[in-house]
Amino acid sequence: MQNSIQSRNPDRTTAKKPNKFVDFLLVLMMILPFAGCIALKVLFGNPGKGINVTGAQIYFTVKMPLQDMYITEGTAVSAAVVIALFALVLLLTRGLRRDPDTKRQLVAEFIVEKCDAFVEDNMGRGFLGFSPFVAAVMALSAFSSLSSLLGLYPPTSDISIVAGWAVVSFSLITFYKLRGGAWNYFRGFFEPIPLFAPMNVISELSTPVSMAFRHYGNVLSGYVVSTLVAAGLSSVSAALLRMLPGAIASFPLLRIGIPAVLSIYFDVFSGIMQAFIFAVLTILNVKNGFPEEEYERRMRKKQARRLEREGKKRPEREKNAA
Amino acid sequence: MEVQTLDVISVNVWSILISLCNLLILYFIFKKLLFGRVKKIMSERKQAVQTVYDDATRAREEAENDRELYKSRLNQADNEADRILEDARIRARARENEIIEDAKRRASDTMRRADESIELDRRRAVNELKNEISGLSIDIAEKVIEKEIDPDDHRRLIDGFIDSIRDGEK
Repeated sequence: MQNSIQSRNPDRTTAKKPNKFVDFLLVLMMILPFAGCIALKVLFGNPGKGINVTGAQIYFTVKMPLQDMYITEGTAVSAAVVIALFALVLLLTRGLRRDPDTKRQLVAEFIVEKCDAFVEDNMGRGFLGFSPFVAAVMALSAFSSLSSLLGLYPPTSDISIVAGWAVVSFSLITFYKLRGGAWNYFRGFFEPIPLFAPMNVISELSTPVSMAFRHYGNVLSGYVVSTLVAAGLSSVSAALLRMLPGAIASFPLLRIGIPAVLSIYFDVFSGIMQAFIFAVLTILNVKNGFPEEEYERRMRKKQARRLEREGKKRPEREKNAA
Repeated sequence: MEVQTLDVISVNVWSILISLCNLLILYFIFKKLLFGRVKKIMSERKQAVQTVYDDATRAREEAENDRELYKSRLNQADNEADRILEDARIRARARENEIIEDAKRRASDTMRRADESIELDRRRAVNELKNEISGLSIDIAEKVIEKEIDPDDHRRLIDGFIDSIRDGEK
């Protein structure tokens, strides 16, 4: 197929072919961070002590003002996700051509087009600049949650990490609200009556908090339930196989297969779902918070003022020219 | 070695900051490297497609114009041909009339000449006859009278006679 395309476009044959070695390096760049995380986990590993629901392991502690900075497993995994996504993006966008002849370009274009269509459907054409952000949030969140499939600690079950994203989301919402004018934004808190001001402030602040808690809670609960079920199943299988002699009695038979089904729900489905919900909530909040009429009114006023200023300037210029 | 872990619910400002930075970094990576590049390529492709479409439209317009031109030229040629034919027909008809007129004139000329020559012949014959008769009657009269008469007087006499005969014929 490549040949036929190249024969149709003879000028393409001169274009440089993607270097396979670089592709290999990029794939390695996607895999190695996770391998490194697994290695770290093993190095610092805590030997199985039964059921133990805790937060992420702390690898290093850095003394910082305000609070100690912890380099945890979650931090490491989220860094790994960012690096892997960086490599993935580089891999997908290598050797882009006007007439696509590689699958990776089709995938890249598919992602971009779908994101743009999604943002456009939900927010309108004016917000198309949001689509890279939406893609970034979705990819980061989904891959962070999915990293639990590798046996790593999913960073999304650490509230601090999800809270970071929620802060970005909240900043965007507030930024777009402020586009209708600071006074307008401020006045919004005293509606419908000034008495509602505390509640309005709380509801404003509750948006990022609820977003963070929703995401974190879903992933963490999946992790907790999975752990509990796994532990429970091993004791059930121990009870079932008690009669059998020797080592077979302690063989966790029921732990084969059943946790995998749960994992499909909690790790794969829930992870992707939460990523999607987080992105959707961000864009919907931005869209709903954006005072479109007020913004347009201000823009019109600004433009009128500018025209007026130019109109004033023009006679002066003409005078100078004369 | 003692394994330290975070609490299940623990908020850490630095973690928040790190994760915030991660998201922003990933956003810029996506924006510059994925969306920027892909959109550039896509707009280039759109441009190329647009160029092809424009070319096609222009070519079709040109063809349409040419067609109009040829059509009008063809019409013009048709009209020209019609005009030439009409001219030829008119000229032919004129020529035809001319020829017929000519033929008629000639025929009438010939007729007239023929009539004239017949008349001439007749007159000549009459004269000859008159001479003959007058000569004859003179001879007869000479014989009868046995004397010479003045032929001129005689002739005049006979001519008057013949004329009276001719008058009688009429």
